[in-house]
Amino acid sequence: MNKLLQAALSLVLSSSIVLPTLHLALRPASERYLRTANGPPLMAQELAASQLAAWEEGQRDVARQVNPEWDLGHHTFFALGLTNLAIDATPDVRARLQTDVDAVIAEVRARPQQHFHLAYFKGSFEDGRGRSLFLDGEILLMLAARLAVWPDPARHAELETLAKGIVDQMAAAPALMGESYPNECWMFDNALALAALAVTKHVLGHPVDGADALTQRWLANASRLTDPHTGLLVASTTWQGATLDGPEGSSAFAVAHFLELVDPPMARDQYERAKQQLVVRPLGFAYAHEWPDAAQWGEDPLPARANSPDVDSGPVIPFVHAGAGASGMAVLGAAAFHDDALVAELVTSLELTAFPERKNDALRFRATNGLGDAVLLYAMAQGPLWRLVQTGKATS
Amino acid sequence: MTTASINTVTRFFLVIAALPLVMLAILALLGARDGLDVLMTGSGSRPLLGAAWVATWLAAVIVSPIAFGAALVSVALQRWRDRRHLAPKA
Repeated sequence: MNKLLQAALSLVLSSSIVLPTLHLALRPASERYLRTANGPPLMAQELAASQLAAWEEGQRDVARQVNPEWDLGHHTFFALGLTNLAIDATPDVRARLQTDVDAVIAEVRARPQQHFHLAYFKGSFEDGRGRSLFLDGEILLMLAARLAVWPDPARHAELETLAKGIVDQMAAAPALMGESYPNECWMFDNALALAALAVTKHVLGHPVDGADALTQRWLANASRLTDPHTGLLVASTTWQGATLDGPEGSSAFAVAHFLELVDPPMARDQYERAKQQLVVRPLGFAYAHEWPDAAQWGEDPLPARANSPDVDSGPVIPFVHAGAGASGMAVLGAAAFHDDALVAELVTSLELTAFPERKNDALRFRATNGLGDAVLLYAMAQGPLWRLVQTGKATS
Repeated sequence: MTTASINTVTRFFLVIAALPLVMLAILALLGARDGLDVLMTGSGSRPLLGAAWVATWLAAVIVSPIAFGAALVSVALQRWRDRRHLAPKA
């Protein structure tokens, strides 16, 4: 046996043992990332502790110079994460969280629309109101969630006015897709807005005028907004409904989660399709692609902006095509649809690649930013609010 | 294969196993871990050091255990071969 053969054999044998078992060394205990009878996963509490401390120090850590949209996403997922945690919390913690959630909402509402949008926000909207559904939808969802957990009938009129504005904007659009930028309508924002209307209905005890009809029309029209090659809803359209961005991982998993409050079978179908099309699960780890395999388009032209990393996709790691945004949102999708095995694999990948930093029962991921941490907080904490809206009960 | 060649193969794998760990320690001293926001923003405060940290960390987590395992396997292989050579012929 010469040296080269000995080295090769040693390498093959070692790799065949180490690679399939590496995930075992990195995977946290299940109670860290799965909800138990005692409440939310430990990761949710640790992420919340870190983000509450950062919030109180005035940190927003979202690289606004790269993408001001991340700033709004950070506020929204942070507030929704805290709202979900509050449902299971003790009265004193609930009171503290109410103060924080109110502060987050107030900070968002104090800003002009442009603050949370990229530079090309300036221009003429097709809809004469000139409102961004991205901003208004997220404000409505935060406020409705807040009032679902801490009821305050004095604020119902305010909630109803906000909701009516969204109903009117979406109902006026030819494809029932409200704009977030001039002639640019995002599925994430529209699905989120429909979920926000469902939470609003729960809070008010009755639907906002026109909301139920809008939701039914939107669902009936959804096939027009679906990519025929994958069966996934497209990520963005023009105001008329023409596809701008095809299905995207940074959108699809969250959209499926939002649709749980609108059409549960459709939501489940979208989640399963997103998982099938986008998730890769090597050796006990998992990550998500931002775009489905282009081979499925065959001779058909790809959507205009397919396979072009942007501020929504986040960085896409070469060779394996792992999308940072898609993989983060896949955690939300897997947790929302109780796909425990996939949550475990995604969390193991986070342990490997996202550089967790644990200090005094607080957790942050060094390789993300404020938005990434807030999405993971929400992914781990979500569940109670949706159950409250669907069943009237906070616990499963 | 001689005893010297065992040492060569094993030593090679031990060096490969240790190299990322040593580099990680050096990068930690240089403060590269503080540049990790390179991953989300594509820029970061210290992009080159942050990228180096990421690459070295992945090497330390994946390559080092494989190389260390290969070093152990190479020792085992050599012992097995030595036993065969030393065994009395029938």
